[in-house]
Amino acid sequence: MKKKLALFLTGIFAATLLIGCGNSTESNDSNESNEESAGSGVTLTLYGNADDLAKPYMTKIIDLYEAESGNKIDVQGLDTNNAETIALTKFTTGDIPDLYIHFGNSNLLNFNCEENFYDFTEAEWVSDINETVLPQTKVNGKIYGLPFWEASISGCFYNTKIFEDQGLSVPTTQEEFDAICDKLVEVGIQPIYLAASDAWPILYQYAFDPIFSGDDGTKLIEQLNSNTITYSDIPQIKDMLNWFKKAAERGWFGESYMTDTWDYTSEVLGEGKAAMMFCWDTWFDTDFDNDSYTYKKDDFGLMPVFMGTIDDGTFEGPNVNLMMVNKNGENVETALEFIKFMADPYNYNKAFEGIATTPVFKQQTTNTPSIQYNKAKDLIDKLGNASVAQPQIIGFSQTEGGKAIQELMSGNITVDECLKRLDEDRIATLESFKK
Amino acid sequence: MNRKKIYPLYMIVASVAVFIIFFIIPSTIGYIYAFTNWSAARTNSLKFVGLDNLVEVLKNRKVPIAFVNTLIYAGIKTIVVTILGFVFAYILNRNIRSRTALRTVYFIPAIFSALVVGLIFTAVFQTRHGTINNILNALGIDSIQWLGSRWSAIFAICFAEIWRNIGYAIIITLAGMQSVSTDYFEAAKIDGASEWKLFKNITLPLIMPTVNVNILFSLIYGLKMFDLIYVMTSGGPGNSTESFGTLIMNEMSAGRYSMSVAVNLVFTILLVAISGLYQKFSERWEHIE
Repeated sequence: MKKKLALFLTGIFAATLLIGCGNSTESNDSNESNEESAGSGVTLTLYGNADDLAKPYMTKIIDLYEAESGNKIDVQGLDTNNAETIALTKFTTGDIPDLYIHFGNSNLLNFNCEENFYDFTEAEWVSDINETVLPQTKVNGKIYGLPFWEASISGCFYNTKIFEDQGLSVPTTQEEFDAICDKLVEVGIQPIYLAASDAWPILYQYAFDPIFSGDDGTKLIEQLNSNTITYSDIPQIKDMLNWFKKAAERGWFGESYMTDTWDYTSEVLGEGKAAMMFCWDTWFDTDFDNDSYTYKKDDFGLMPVFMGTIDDGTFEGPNVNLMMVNKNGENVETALEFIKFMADPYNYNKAFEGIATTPVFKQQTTNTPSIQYNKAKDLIDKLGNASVAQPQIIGFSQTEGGKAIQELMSGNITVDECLKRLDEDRIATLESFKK
Repeated sequence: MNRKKIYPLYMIVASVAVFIIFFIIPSTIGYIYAFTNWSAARTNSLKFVGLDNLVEVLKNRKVPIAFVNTLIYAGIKTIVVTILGFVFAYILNRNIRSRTALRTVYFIPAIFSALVVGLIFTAVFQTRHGTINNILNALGIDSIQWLGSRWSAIFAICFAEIWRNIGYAIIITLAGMQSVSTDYFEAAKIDGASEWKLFKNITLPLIMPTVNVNILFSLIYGLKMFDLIYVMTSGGPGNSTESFGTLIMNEMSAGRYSMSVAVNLVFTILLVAISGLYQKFSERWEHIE
């Protein structure tokens, strides 16, 4: 009797555990249908990185749309650090929302765009997107999402007062830039602040953009992605690595670059501990504490990046988030209406009013470009390159590549070994995608 | 409860069932992915690729670095935590006035999360404005880039890990010491035994099972070290402070899921082997007469 009772209780216990862990899709579905029937309009689900979805222009465009249409956007922010992995898991298990927002890079390939997302290549609003942003929107030549994001132009900040004091002017060639760095070292000023400890702020993708721009660049990317060539076959990449090595050896990054972190950028620039830094133009508006330091944001200008790959220097175009529509969802028409609403110049101008950004759309006027952008606009128009390396080279890793460059700068490996490491990591990802 | 009574096997059915359902089955299923082509690009229609991923793991340049570093982290942590834990426990077991307060103080680091400890020690070892460098500068000594080269970064990580874990070691060892009957000591003292002999012939043998638990825990958690490394160096500079934990994470982040599982499988085998070996040898020490 006791034995039977024990077995019975064990069974109940196990069953309770399993039921507790069971799929609750049914109850969610019924909640959703209740929600829809309770309201007057349709509820669209939107997944995305929680931080991205909390941006003021995102919440504003959603509020505007809800007020005008009577529909509702059910915003489901995913944990910032793991958003992409969580979203991918959801997509894999068939949990695909009506709308999905993603930073258009080569990882978007993982979401099987052709099968899952609406193709906007022929949409009217495509002609309204700025040329520097357009390549960011494309996956295999097709446009699957509306770029709706704050856009920044990346280059090299320089302290105009330090430059004036030293009689320096904005360089126009790599040689001039290198000479400026040497001159600053001579007078005891650290030329460039490089937060190399965090690896990603090495930002070597800036140097890649001019290599991979235009038709020839596109061809190179295709060859890299089909594994028919490697980085070693592109001489400019070796030039870039040689430049980093030289810069480290000559003290252009100071003495403690291997332990310098992004946390100190405000202090270092604000107190004039370094004269330059690779960064994006809106940084002074979003991150810099303007009241705490000797130098104010007006004291800085933006000039091209010189990293050994192009003699004239380069600016990097924006990296933007894309709003995509699940083409197999139940509410495709409503989701497309939402995209049309977002792409309307009147609506996006309202959403981006006063936001520090360069324009993503040609008719965007209410944003406030940074002081640095305004001062360097002519140069940016001349030397700007769209961000293509990071979004389009499969396996490109800002952090892992940065780590290889760390080792190069600290003298642990040679330029050729570094080149090999950059390739190894990229090819490992590429191969894993092809298996 | 009758300690001598042998209870029937079915009494363990519930716990074994839970263990199998929630640990054995998920782990086994998880490791199956090490033999597939699972990646961020291929989450559907997976196919078996045999031992390809394990071969790739063995070819991976970062695996030997992670292997050596993992052993270094675990070795240093186990040795230092065990010895210091023992010494502090011995002191705190004596009749000193502030021992209750000291026990609490020593245990406080153990309640902090690894993330918090990592951030604290990153600030301590930071080159710019780091606590240690501030002291060195005040003494007229140049700053040291603690986290800027392999060995100094490993030292900093181990220091933080030891600081965080020593409280546990003290508490466990102290509990062991307090469970030793005072009768033994009184009898030995009557026979004229010195302090050293009391320690060597009574304290040490009787608390060896407790010390073994300490060593085993330190070893296993040392081998599994991840969070502190991730916060303090992210495996850098370069890959010089990577452990198996950070390597698994990096492979996963790069979308090479099956490779990540394969590294994890290799790591688990290593973990089980080292723990098993230790337990085998430690049985002898527990039976010191």
